[in-house]
Amino acid sequence: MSVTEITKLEFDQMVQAAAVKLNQKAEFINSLNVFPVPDGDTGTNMSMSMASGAKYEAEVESDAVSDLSAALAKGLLMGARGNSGVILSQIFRGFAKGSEGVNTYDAKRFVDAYANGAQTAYKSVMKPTEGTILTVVRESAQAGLDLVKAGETDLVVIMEKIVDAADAALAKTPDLLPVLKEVGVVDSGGQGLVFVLHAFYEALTGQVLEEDAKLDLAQMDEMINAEHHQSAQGKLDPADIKYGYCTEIMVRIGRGNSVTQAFDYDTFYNHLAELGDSLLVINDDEIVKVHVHTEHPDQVLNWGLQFGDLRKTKVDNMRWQQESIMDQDEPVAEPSDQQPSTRR
Amino acid sequence: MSIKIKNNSGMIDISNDVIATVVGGAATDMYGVVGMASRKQVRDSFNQILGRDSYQKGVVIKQQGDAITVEVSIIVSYGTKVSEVSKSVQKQVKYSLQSMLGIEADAVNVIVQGVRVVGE
Repeated sequence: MSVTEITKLEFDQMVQAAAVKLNQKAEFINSLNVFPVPDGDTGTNMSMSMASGAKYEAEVESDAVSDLSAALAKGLLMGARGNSGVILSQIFRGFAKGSEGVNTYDAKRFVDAYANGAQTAYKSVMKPTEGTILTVVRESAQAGLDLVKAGETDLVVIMEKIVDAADAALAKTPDLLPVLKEVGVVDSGGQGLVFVLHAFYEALTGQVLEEDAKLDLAQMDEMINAEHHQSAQGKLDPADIKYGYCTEIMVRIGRGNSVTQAFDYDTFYNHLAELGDSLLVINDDEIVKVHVHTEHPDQVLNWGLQFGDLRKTKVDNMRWQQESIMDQDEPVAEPSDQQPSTRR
Repeated sequence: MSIKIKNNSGMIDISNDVIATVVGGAATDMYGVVGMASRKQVRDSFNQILGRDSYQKGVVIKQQGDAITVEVSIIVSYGTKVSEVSKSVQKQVKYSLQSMLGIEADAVNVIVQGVRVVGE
């Protein structure tokens, strides 16, 4: 299908879709939040900001996208929460400014507005940090501009390219921002914007992007990395660790000789929830992957065996890991009755 | 003037200039902050004349006993939600002080001195 014009109808749908998607993905985005402060609120902030924007946009009577985008921008400004909310509000502020006097978007006008959004976003900070949402918006806008310049008029094609460019820019963020690489996640704000763009694409085409339909296993790895980073940051005393074994198993559903029951997500999940905390369970048709902190890794493995064979297992002793981290950092305490060392 | 931390191994002395620089660096990195407003004219003009890149501009460190108060005077970008930008500055400054210097700030006060329209 091809779309050459975005009218009030399409724009309304795009905005609503973005708000819904951010709401669905808020928890996941929260888990990626390690920059600038690892406080795990990027997802919630972006979701609430966009919800405010969508609300204002929905209340506008006018048919002109200039008015609709202005309302979206105003809603985002009024409801902006957190650093990421402010940046999102600036992107759409520029977008609205670039939409002045426009009744409906054609390819050129839409991309120009989006590019204006990217420019405005960069202007409101003294030292723009690359490897963040700024990189994603800039590179995706550039992709759009290149296509329009080459004569493309189909907004579906353009939106698809914008989404691709955004995905690529997001994947690159760990290379641009060292702390992301250290932790093993992509930038949370950037991920939020990527979801917004995915939502725009889905609204335009009526198709759901497969990768968003459910969390995939790579995303689960990111969530695990981010979570371990946060507890390492807290400098836990090993004695405070309640569930000592970080246990991960990958079960091939229905395979092998040990199977005693058919896989049902809720049954599987609920039993594991009683064995420990920091539980993550993700599955597709063939495998289910589990991450849990528990005192009984054997029970986790046994439970997995009820449903299939174990493709991979990993059990780490977190108390021992924490002790090693702490030994590196702190100077050894001197016993009080020790002779003072002689100066050299 | 400096902040002194005493522990088992001895004393750690971090000068106010260092603290101000860390704070200034954290604040200028924040989205929505487009400038710092000088509150200490002599110090900041001096740095400017000497051609030094000073992150200390707009930052004042106060210490009363064990309590450390940081004051940051910022200029924000017109069109951003000022309250959120300020909250982000507070959070970032507090976090940077803790992670880079190991200092717990009792209060981080943000003074929005000005608003600048950035090229529309």
